[in-house]
Amino acid sequence: MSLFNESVFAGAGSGGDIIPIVKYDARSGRMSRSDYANGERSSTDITRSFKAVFDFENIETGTIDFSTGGAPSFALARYGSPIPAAPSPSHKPGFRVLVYLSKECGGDLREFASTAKACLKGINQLFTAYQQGVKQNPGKLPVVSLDDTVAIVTGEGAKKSTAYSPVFTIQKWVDRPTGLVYTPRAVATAATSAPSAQAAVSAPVEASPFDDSDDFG
Amino acid sequence: MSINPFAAYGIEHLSPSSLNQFAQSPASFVLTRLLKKVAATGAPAHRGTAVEAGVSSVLKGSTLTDGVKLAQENFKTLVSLSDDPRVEKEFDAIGGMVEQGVMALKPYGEPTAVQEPVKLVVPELPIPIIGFIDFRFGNVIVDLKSTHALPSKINNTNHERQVALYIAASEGDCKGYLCYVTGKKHGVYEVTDAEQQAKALARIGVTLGKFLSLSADPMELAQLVIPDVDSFWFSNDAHQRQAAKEVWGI
Repeated sequence: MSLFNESVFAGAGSGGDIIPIVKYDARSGRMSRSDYANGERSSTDITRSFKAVFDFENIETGTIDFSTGGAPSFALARYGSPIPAAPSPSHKPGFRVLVYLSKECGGDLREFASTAKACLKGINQLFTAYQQGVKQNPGKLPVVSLDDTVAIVTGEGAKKSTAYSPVFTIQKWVDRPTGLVYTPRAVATAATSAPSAQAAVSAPVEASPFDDSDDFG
Repeated sequence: MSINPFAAYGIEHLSPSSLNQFAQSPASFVLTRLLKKVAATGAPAHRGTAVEAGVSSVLKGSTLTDGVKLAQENFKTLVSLSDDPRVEKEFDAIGGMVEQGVMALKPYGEPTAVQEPVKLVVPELPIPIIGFIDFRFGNVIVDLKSTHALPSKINNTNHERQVALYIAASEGDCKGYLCYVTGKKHGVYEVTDAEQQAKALARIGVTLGKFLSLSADPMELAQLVIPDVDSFWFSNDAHQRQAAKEVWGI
């Protein structure tokens, strides 16, 4: 697999800052961080220790194609903005959100994106909890842990398969970490078109010192 | 109620949906609102929100085409994280439902308020019951319900209680209606026993308060109830089902 599958680029195949990723494998129910250094790609399992600040203020939803053989193709919009049409049949419903990992998990900014239905289920549940909780915590972001997984069995007989949906829990609410800054990206359009700018652009929220007692330094 | 049993759980107000949930499934109430195992919203509920937005925009002056488009865009956003298999069916129904909603409500004119917040203070309760009126046309209150099967009369007590709250919390002499829309038909029915239904909401609130006053520990309260895992509250959501297993072992 190429580096491009392990890294997420700004825009749809365009150049830009690379934000390293965390990945949830719905087939095994494991969360890992992917790193690339000195020509080497590595993956570190952080399932048991996973804790991160989720930038749900700027979660993007729409469709993603991870099967391009190169950089994934994102046709996403910030939640609340009109969702772009899927550029191809290979684009599947998905999400992308920035997370800031706790020190125990690496202590840096990561991108988390998925189209796995089992993963979407867990994120949907977590986002619902966020929407309810943010009313009492305006301007704050949730510190989220991965507490468990739920087995989702689909199909029957030879087509029976099991996926594991993550059970995330909001542990508490904190100010936005300094390093957690959202920048809108370009949006993938139909293959013949150039990537277009995302329609709705949110002003990046001013970063505030992360003075919480937790370890998101 | 001399002390506030709701405070221990950070509950600052009640609503028809929270009270109806407690009445229908105390176990689900404990799980979602006390133990904070939040349930994701299903596609039909998102469809309802979207249809309401579309109807509202047309009643305020948009064209039907624009209203339908707005509703469909809203729905796409609302379900964009959902894996609910009903998404496509609900999306397909939205256009007709918006059209029927407009046909049903257009005769009332332009709404004087949309999503109007109301608050009912009940002497027996230390916290208010709040709600949001879908559409107000002067002293006429309408709650819009989208559905795939049009009822021939009001057949849902929860809906009646909702409108009853709106009437009870409004000043002056109001009439309350439930407007049901499908993709092809609509029906508007008056809520005639609002006073009784408002009293029922208050009664449920008092019972809930007494239940919460038994303990400030949600796990203790959980031991006093048991879930019907085949019910709507648990059967459609693998996360809720698993949470129920963890809490009650069934």
